[in-house]
Amino acid sequence: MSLAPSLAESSMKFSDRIEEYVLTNGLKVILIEDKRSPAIVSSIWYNVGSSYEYSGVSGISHVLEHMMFKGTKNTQPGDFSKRIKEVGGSENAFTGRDFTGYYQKIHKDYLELSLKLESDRMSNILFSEEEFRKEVEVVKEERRLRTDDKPISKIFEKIGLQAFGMKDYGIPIIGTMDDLNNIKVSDLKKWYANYYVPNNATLILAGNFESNNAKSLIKKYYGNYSKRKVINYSKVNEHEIYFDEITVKDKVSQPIVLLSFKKKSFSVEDKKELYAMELLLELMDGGLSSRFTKNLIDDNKIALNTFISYDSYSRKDSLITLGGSPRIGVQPEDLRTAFINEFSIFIKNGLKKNELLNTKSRLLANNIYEFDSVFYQAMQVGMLETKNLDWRLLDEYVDDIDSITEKDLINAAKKIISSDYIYSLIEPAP
Amino acid sequence: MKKILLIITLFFCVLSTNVMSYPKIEAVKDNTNYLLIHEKSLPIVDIEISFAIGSKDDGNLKGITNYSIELLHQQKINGEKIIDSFEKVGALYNSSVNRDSSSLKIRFIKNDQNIEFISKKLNEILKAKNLSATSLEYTRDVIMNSIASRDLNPASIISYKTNEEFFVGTGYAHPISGYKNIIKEINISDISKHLKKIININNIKISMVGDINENEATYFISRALDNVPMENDYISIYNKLNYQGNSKVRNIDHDSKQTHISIYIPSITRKHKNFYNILVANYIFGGSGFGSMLMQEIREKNGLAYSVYSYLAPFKDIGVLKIGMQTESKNTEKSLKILKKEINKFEKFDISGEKIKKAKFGLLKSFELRLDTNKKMLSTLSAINNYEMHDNYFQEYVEGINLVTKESIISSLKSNLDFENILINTVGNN
Repeated sequence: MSLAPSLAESSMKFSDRIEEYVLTNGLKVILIEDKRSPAIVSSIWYNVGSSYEYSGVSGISHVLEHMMFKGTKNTQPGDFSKRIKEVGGSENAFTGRDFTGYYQKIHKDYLELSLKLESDRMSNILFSEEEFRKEVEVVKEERRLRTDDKPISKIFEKIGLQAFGMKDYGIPIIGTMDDLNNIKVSDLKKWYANYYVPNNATLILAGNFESNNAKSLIKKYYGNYSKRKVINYSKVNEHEIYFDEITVKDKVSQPIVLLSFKKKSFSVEDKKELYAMELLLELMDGGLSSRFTKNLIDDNKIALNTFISYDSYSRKDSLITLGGSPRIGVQPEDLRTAFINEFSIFIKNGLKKNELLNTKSRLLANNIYEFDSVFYQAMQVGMLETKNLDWRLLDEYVDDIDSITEKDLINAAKKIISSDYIYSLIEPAP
Repeated sequence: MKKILLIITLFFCVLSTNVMSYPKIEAVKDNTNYLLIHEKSLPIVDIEISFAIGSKDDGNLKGITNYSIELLHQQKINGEKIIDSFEKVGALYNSSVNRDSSSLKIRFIKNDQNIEFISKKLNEILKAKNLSATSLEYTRDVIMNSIASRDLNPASIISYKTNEEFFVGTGYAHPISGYKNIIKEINISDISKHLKKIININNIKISMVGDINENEATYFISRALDNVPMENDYISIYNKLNYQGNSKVRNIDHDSKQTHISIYIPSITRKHKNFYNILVANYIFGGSGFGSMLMQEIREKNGLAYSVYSYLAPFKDIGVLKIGMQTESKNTEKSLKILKKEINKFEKFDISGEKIKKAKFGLLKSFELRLDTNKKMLSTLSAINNYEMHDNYFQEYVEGINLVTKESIISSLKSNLDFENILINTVGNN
């Protein structure tokens, strides 16, 4: 079967539809045109997230994200969401390790409303003590819901701490319960004043806007803010990863095995090596026809399910985690060995017929499917920006992936299995 | 005076309908079971094949529809699983089962080769001649594991226990994945027999969105359905709600940080004449996130939950308004008190005309934005297809919302929501 996606690929470029510029106050603006529907996704990305935090204020970026809906000098608490909803829009916010982002999806007729409201909260947040007291309780509920009552989230939090300590990507995005109990309004004010400045943000519009109109509105609403120096509050990471095994008992029906390997941060110089890693992991577990499914689930009946978790474009060192549950009657240790064996076998025997072509097909097709959503287009560009990476990487991706060879993949596999890893096991609680 | 008002109202209806532009729905070769939205801005085709058989048609073999549909893509032709063939060309396949229907979805890159190839493979899936004992065994293990996991997760426990109680005596009561003691007894002959009930030409609806014209769609459908069985002697049994409740709270004990709360109120089906009244009312009550009555009281004023919501779940035979939230166990009583108070307010519906007008406008504008990706178009088209509303779905939706008034809502709440028979369950450490 031919490599179907590549035929269509040449027309799917960001560069055909993207425009970028910087306001005099340092705000970076990226406009991505897509007129398939009347929708616009207007988003702003601040270069701050949990990896900028330190012990004592873990979770502060996320708490601040919540407080951004609690009123400004010009709006009442809840007004922001209410006004967007009244015109049929939807909106939300998200905090990651490297960014805090806010977006509104609105009809093109209401772009001005969205820009007016979003720019207002770049500098006019009120931070009422009463609102903070209630909202921090909401965040604690979010932590209970997403982490404390979820065995897999809890183990990932533990692994992160063992790998990186309370620094960089070891800091839980949601924050520890202790820190959530101790964060004060004054901490939030300091965080906001430092990081929420135009020169530390990127505004991305994706969708059905008229370029000149959008530019003039952006200037009107964001042009008057001043540039300010941003202080880096994060601490130097002196934590050394250690490889002790983690075993816990929790509410799982079958054991869950996890092998976490350290992965270096993304840099353009190491692009080939990192993309080879990405392609290798796709080949191992990217779909139901991948090696883990074929060998561990279908043929050898060792695994019930498998997964791989990693972030291609990480700003700091991160983890690649291989995981899964053994089939009923199979020991967790056997699945652990089987994961490692898959890499050893690949190094020894290399690719099977058409395997590289099929895996590239899958990745390239997925790359095209991502153009279906303006929201996702804004997300892709925004996430790169907050890792100091250029959106042009997305346009180069097809050629970069296409250039990866069997040798590159074998080198990537060698790198993975020659390194130490953190082994974790969740056993079913009695 | 009355006459003038009437003219203004009518003018508003017409204006609202005309201003919005919705995609054109074509019945492929005038067959209204096969609907198409030809959207060629991306080289992507999305197809959903749905069957009017869901878990409500399981009979005594509870879980068999889900089990059967899961096996379809695992069939092997010439030693290769069908799912592997899809992945080779970068096509994305998935299947799902709900209470009223089941479906297979495929997304692929548009080219002639793929149209030939994918339609042939779908035909092999639908003929279901290659089910294997190995897949049966593996899928059984996966389902048994998911059933075991269901009893460890408070969100799953509350969902299936509440359904069992509320839908007692109907096909809607049991979990879609079934029960362990039944699943372990299901054999290949049961599956084959059940698949005959699910898959037959008269029972299939196809929805297509993307870069595929009517001729190509016709060709695709004829290949996909070639020699698929035609017999259709099964008639789905009509289900009538038997639940009689009293608003007393039942707690299911479970060791978790949070208590999950679920409230069911008997309501109406999708095609009921008062559907739009309940839709607008629920939007104000708990269906619109921030600013809704529930969000305002539970989260904004009291900081009791990260998420609180209500939505109308209209099944084919029965409708239910579902309300849900999660909170730290010590706050359960307080939360229930507020929820009950809000339900009473909802029943009385002392809401201003201005608020209702804004809700209607917001719903109509968001309806336009709901079609901003091919994926979402497919989901809407498939719903239109399943409900047989292709004639004037978009117009009917707009008109339905426009005709809602405070009086019509109050009347519908009285006749279409059974506030005497509310079911309230909690799961947690209470």
